[in-house]
Amino acid sequence: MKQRVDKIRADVLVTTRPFTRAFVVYMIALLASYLIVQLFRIANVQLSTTIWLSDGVDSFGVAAFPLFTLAEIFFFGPWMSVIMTLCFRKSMVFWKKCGLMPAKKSQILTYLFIVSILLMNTGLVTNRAFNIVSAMVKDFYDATTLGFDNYVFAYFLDELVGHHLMNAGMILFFLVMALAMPRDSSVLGQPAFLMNGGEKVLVLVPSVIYGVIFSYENLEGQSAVFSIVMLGILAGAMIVGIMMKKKGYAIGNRPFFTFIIIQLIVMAVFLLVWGITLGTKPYYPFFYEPSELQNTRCFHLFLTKNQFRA
Amino acid sequence: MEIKASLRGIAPQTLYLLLFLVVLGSGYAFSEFISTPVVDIPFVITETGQAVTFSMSLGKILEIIAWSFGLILAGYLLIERNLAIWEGQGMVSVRKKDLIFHLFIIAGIMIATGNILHVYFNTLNGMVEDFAETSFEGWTIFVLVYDIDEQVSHGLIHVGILLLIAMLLAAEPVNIQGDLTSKIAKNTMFTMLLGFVMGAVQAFAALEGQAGILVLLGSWTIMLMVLVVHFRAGQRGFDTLRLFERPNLGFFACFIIAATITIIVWGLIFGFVPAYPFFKQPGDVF
Repeated sequence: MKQRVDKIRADVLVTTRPFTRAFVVYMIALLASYLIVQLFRIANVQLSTTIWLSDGVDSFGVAAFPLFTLAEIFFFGPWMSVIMTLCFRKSMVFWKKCGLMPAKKSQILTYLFIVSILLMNTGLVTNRAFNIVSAMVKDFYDATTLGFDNYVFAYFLDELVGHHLMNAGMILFFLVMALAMPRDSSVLGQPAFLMNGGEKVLVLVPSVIYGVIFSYENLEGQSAVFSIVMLGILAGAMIVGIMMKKKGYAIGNRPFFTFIIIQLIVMAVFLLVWGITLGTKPYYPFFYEPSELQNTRCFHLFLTKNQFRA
Repeated sequence: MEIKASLRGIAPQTLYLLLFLVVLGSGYAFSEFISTPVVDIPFVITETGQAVTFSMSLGKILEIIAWSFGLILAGYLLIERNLAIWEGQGMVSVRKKDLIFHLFIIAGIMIATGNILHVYFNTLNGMVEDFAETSFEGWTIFVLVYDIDEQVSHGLIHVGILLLIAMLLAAEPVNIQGDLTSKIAKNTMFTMLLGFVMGAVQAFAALEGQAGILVLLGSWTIMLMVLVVHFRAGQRGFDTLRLFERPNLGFFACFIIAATITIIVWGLIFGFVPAYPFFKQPGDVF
């Protein structure tokens, strides 16, 4: 019976190597989250709740949240965190069973993993919650010219703090998953750890696609410079770390490391093209946001710049 | 030296519980007592090109670091050390460890996001309440900010802390062997004292944060689950429920007694409000 189950599992699953599986599961869950959240966006439902206001107000009020935002918080926050925890634990247990996970390394990686989850979730919640408030406060300011301070406060937390914390968390997670593999590349040369051609495609294609999505999101979140610098530092540090072992890189057998390198390359190309096409700004975040293209003033700037070039 | 002498004989995992409570207390202390200096961060609103400044007190930033990150790492250390003891005796399965880790992550997310929402929205609440009376739009913003500040964020923090305590209890096997030694009894007495203090303090914090009812329901749900687990394991009796041999359970028992008495007595003395959170806030009364 067990043999039959194993055979079915081997036939159905694309890979049985836990570290490739962790990568694929992470990617599929992320893709599924994007799709599910889009359904909520199409539905466009508001969730209203009647609350009692004390603190001297002593009356009822109605607080309304877009269900789409709550879905975003849930699916990219706790839901993805559970998936990420699963990937992390499976990876750790696998390398522990192989005798390639020293206790100290396991402890440090666990702390880093917890920090990455916290950064990602606090960033996401800050970004999403202040995204709603920022729009409301901006409308109020435009209509009454009151509360500019409120707008500045909400804008900073929405655009800068939220996106930066969230992306820092995600990048730290990629690092933790990449570091979970042994530093010694000769170990990864063993048949049990070698990734086959199909697995390599499974890693490369989503890495490129997600690289484009990640670059676009970072541009919109004003954190592109921060993310590319972080990714560059991590990739550089890891290359140096592996190089010190003097046994090759085995990049093709390290899914999350490949992912980081491809993200870095795709992002660099994307930013270069974006910057050359639209120009840059003299202040942080230096690049135009994609949503600014809808702004006629920016589009006008873009046209003027290109006419000037012509 | 006196502190060192009095702590001698206290088990390391009890000291981790103490560390957890110290970090918890430091979060309160930072937010309440450090209102200056104010940290100013200049930035440019990229869409308009306006140069503006974001300001926040150092105390609030320290509170975020203490609670959203420090408290969860201290909580992890506490649970991990407790698990390590029983793992060494072969009494913790990989599946159980995985489940505890998953639920711990959920608890951590609840505490961290609840705290960060509270710190930011509490500040914003103070800024938008002036506009509540000006128009319907102003009122709508105020209600939303108030809800996230007072109810959502506090609810997340308190439920997260309770879930973390539940994981601490779950880390301990039901069937533990051994006799009640003076060392174990000393540990339990110490954790019980901590439980009383934390129960009373968290009850007041929950009342002020409009989450008194959540703490009451949450903690009794955990207690009910503990009783059911021990009733089943003890062959329809509570033979395994030996409080003095279980420092963590002793802590929780005293926590729940102190919290329940505080919340109920508060409600009976100062009355109730007609909707959630049902109990009046200490800030409203005094």
